[in-house]
Amino acid sequence: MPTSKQSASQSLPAYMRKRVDIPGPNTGMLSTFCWHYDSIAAAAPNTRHAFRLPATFRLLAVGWYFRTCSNGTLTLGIVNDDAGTSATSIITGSAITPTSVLSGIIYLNDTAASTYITLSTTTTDPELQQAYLAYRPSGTAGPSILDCNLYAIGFYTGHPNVDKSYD
Amino acid sequence: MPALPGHMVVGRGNAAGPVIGGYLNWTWGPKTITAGGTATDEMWFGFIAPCDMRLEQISWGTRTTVTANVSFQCYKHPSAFQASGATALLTAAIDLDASAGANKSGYARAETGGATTLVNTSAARDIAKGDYVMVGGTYDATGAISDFHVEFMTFVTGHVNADSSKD
Repeated sequence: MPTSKQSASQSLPAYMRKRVDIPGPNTGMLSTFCWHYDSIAAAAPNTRHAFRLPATFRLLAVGWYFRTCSNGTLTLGIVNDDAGTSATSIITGSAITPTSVLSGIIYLNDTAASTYITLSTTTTDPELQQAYLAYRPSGTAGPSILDCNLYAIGFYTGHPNVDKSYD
Repeated sequence: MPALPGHMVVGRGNAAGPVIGGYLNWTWGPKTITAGGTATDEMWFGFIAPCDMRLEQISWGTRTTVTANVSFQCYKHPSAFQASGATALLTAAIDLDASAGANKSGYARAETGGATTLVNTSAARDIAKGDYVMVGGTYDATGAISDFHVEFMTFVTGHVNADSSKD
């Protein structure tokens, strides 16, 4: 007996029906977003990268990895808005001290850790809507970083496109 | 397989879960080094694995011809990157100014033949959640590199997170 979602998949274009159990090309698939900076100067805080999600997305973890870092506290945040500038960070307790924590990873709702991601403070919908996520390393004390690697991982819960014009 | 939390079956029909079995790419760069430096280990890309995964391929490329003496090796380490005790992931360091073609790009897979391969053992290719994976590059005072990128293609073998508090 087909489930309702299997039935829904039958109305999709042929190239999408190749994945019978998955009603679309990207729903459920993990995806990573990675950034690398050669260096972040102490005089240039608030460095940020942003991207626009092509579909609703469940964020699972974010991480960082530095080669070196000077003194200073880095605020690592992800925001869920359309400008990447003003929304509330969705990482709880996001301040880190990179001189002692050159690398790390923050998981969704890992309340055993002092720093974790929570999605409930910014939206009642646990899925990130089509929005910008932005890492915002901002050092009030001006930490400088060499080889700043940042990444986010999650999975799509929606379809980026169900276009049928090429079926 | 134990029942998964609801958010992991969103939109998935009968699929067992969102995160096991798919490919996951980790693309790092660009990295630019201007000739004239003196330090070694001047190129670090890295991440902490958010879930169990198997390394399938490492590929790399640069924009311009490498002038001299730039090489890199990839490592895995269970706690934090250390020059000693880390497991090399390539059978030999990649010498970018000597071994590659005009585009200075290449790849390594766990297969026989070719100048460079992945180390084809479970100890090297099976990356556990929490392992550190990194690229370490070295160069001398005459070496330079422009827009260097490295991509890790991995196959996911474990869940990133099974938290259900936001279902």
